[in-house]
Amino acid sequence: MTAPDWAVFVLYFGAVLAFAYWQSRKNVGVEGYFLANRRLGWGAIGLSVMATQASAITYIGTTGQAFDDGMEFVQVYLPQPVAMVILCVIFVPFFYRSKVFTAYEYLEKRFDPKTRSLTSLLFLFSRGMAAGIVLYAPAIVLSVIMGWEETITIAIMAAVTILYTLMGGITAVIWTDVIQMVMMFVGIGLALVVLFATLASGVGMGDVVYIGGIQEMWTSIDLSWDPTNTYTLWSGLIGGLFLALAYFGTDQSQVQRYLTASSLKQSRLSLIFNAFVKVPMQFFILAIGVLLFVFYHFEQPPLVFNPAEVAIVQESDRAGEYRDLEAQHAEIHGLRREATLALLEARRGGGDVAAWQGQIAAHDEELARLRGASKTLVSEVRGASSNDVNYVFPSYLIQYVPAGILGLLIAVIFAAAMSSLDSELTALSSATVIDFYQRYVKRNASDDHYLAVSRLATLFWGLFSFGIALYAGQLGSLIEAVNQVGSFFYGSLLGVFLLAFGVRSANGTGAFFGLLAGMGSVFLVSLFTDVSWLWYNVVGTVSVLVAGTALSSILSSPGAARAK
Amino acid sequence: MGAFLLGSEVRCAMRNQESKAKQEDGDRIGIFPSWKSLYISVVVYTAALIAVLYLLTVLLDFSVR
Repeated sequence: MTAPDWAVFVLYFGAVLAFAYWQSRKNVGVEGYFLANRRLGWGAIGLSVMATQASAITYIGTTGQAFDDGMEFVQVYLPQPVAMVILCVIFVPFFYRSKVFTAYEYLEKRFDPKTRSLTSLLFLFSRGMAAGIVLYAPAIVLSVIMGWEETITIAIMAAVTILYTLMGGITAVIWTDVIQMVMMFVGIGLALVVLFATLASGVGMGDVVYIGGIQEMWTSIDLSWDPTNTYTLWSGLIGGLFLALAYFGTDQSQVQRYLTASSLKQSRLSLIFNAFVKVPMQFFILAIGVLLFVFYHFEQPPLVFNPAEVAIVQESDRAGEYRDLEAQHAEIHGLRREATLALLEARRGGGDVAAWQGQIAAHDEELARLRGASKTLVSEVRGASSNDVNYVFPSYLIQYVPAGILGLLIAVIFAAAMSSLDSELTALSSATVIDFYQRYVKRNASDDHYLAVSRLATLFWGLFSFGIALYAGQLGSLIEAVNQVGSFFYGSLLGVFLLAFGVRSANGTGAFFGLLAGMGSVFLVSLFTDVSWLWYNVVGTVSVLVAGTALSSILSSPGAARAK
Repeated sequence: MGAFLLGSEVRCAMRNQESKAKQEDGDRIGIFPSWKSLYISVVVYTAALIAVLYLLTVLLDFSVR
């Protein structure tokens, strides 16, 4: 990075910290720290909800995924607007009116302490680990691409986020999320503009759309019915709907946001805002990936985008194999470039486009084979699978983006990571203090005492996520296991809340064992079928509803008497 | 029978919540005359998004099969 890039970068961090300090003065007590004294408006909350969901991996990973597979990932987001309506009608009024601090607190009011504690514990376990990954994933990519020390990258992100979250609690978190979300919108626009500007001369927007179109990169809707495929309209609409309901309706990192609203109306409007904005935003992020795909028809892309993996292979005894693949890749890319330019000429002049398309398709097939071979080579040398897609966008940034703008776009990636981490820290500390410390350790302490404990909890979870991020590289399979466990219980958690809101006869014991039955069902489905993980949410929800209702009628619980 | 009861209970709870929410929040939400109209517009918006994306899928497929 050049001096102007560093200037933009430092200015951004300074502005975030100063703004957080300014906002922190408005906080009073635990309710101020965790819920901003329930006085925020829909705009700030809506942007914070969006910023919490959009982590740095949304930027880095999703663009890379579109570079490889086109726009089809957008189908997962399509049910989100409808999910927001369902949340507004069913979930938000229950949470808002019960004046709870955490989503799980509501379950004790409705069921019993054990259901609350189990759901909160599941949240702490999965979010605690996820917070570490939120830090680690972008840090490893930025470290490799920028040549920065990985530990320092993680430390900077963690330190800044912990500092402003500690200072200002949820108020600072939400308002810095607003800045960071605005930065992200600017970043998306800038990335698209820069991509167009750096295209080969003579290549216009129509050409970009056309080249993407001949490779079916704009395919956004797949109507096939295949539950093993995540990216179809039906998997997206049904599985994605349950996932969105579970995430926005039962995950404290999202519920906490709309509990800060000054009224039920503001709370609902924050979600409706997301209903209108989220899908277009995701569409444009994916479009960056497709534009990158077109861009690299005219510029020579690296065979492997991750320079660290290239270095490992080049130092191994299989360096010769890699050099051969690289030479073939450069040659075929040159041929495809010529064919692409000839195709554009033929299209303008009414020539034989089919012949040139055929040539490009043959070159693409060969390039894909070479990419596959290089991936296998890297995996064999490293002894671990390669996830090169995460390096496509950062690699482009560092090589082609002008000074100043590069600093801003790198700051956007940091902003995306920090705006997710800060929400997770406040959610984790609120669940720790409200669901466990205040519930089981010290019931009637002063507000100052709980505020101090809340800050300590924030610090603890900040350091915990920092620790997980530092060792995430060595955890490998554990990270996969954590993600898998997360998908096991997300749908089941949704089932428990639907049971609480919609089934009057449900009681605590039924809900508790229904939750366990739901997670067990998902485990069995994952073990014995090939259905996409998106469907786990459906299986978990339905299992809990059925088992919870049945068990409630068989088993009795003191919670039944309290049922509303 | 169980599923029917479950569905009716959910619908009943939804109706209760919706009526309470209406009392608290008033009728008009910006340009929308009621929450119901706002929710319907979100559903229509989603259908329109799917239709537009389907059109993009069909119209921007320039591959020669």
